[in-house]
Amino acid sequence: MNKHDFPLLKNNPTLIYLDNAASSQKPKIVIDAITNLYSQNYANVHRGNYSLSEAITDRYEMTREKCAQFINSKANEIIFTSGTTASMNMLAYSLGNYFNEKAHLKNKTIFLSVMEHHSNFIPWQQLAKNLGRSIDLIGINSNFALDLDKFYKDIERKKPLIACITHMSNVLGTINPLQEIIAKIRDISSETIVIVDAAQSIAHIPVDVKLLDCDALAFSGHKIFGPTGIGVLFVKEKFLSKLNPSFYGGGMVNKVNILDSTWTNYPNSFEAGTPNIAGVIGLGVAIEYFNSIGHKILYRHEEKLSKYFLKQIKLIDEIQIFGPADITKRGPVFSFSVKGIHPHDLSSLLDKYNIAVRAGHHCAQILHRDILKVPATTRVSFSLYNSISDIDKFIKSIKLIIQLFIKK
Amino acid sequence: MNIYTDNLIDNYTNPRNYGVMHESDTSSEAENVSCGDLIKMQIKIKGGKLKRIKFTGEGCAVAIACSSILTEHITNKSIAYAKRFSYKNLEKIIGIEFTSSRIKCANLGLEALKSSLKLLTKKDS
Repeated sequence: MNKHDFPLLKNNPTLIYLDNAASSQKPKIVIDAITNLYSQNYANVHRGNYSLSEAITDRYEMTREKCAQFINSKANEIIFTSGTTASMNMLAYSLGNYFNEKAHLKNKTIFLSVMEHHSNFIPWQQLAKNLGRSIDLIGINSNFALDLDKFYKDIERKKPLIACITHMSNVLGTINPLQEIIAKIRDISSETIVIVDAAQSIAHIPVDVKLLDCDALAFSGHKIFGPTGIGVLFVKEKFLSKLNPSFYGGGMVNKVNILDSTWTNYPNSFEAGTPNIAGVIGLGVAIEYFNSIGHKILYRHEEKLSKYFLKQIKLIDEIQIFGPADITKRGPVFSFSVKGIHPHDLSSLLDKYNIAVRAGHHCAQILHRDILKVPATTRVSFSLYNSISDIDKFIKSIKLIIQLFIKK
Repeated sequence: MNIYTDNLIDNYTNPRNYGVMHESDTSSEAENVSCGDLIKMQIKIKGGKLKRIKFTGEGCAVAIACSSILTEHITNKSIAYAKRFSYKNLEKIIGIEFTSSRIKCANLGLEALKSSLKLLTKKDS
């Protein structure tokens, strides 16, 4: 579907790109938008009172509006960052300062799910360490879903400071029922700050921060057909208004005095320095492209691919899939082991057939080592431009590779 | 370049010098944290030579096969030779130039060998 929109895929007609969970390919309109910006419309934003700068500032702020509509937030709740990782680190830094001033919250812990990507794990682990708090884990059950009964009992007792949960696992493909989970957290522990990693879900399912009722959420542009180096941190206004900026410098100040300074309004106060202007413009066009296809059509396409993939892969005895069997509870991201073949060998050999897949722990060491009990897995992830024939070629190749290793 | 040559697959499925020896003069391990691969090497020294080498571990075909080929080559060689032996030498023996993402795998056994030899030097001094 829409493969012709992507120059890289057109230029590499035999490539089967199945590493979309890491990063998506870019449509021509995004590439053109960035080229046109630099060749025709470029100037710095928020600085000049000449028409070129004013025009690009308008486009920059209009993209903020577009991002807000995309996740159903207000525009002043959208902070542009370099990606999900930067978003989480920046938020953790600001929260560290916030909690340092809140001595009465001293004994509370931080809850992290075992399926978090390192970027939604380590910033909070380090925050806990710096604040002298402990970490509690939200485990998973045999269906690769969060063990919510235990989690609800735990937070009843502990009333955590923060809970960080991914919307969709980048390893298991599990989509967490966050609307239900966050409503329950609000019921049990109303003061808990809920932080959502939407890096994977944003590419596959609608993300609505009002429905979710999360306090903060982050995603990256490069997983939804946008450029690298651009991402979004959403922070609920009620909460954002209480936070101090994470970085200081140009563009975020009001008045600078020798001993202290005052800040401009959020979200600009959280965007110190010249931002990634081309990234923002590219992200805006990527969102337009995404919207022009629409979540419904994309979901139907990816659901069809997922069903077919699961059906075909189950026929290969040597393969063990780690993730929900129920198609309605997962996105099109599949990690698996092949008996007798190391993931690195498998991905290297698939590369010979021009099939790009991921091998490793996918930035989720705890999930692999402590839960799945495997050092690494191979991961296949689908997007808009993948097809049934991609899956057929993948299955055919993997069968040949298994033969190569088993015969000997 | 096809790295999965018959020789490599053969050394993966039937690794030489694989196992544990009860008495070794030095041993060490090397880990590739990005995938959890681990190679452990044990060496028995006699008359300034690496008389026996044994290795165990978990890893991809490249890590296991390269360790296997390395131990075969280095057995009965002098300590001085083993210390000089480089990754480039190993690639030459195997006849494969590994791509950047697989160098770490190919070098794992050699890393374990080198740190075993370092421990030996410390012990001697």
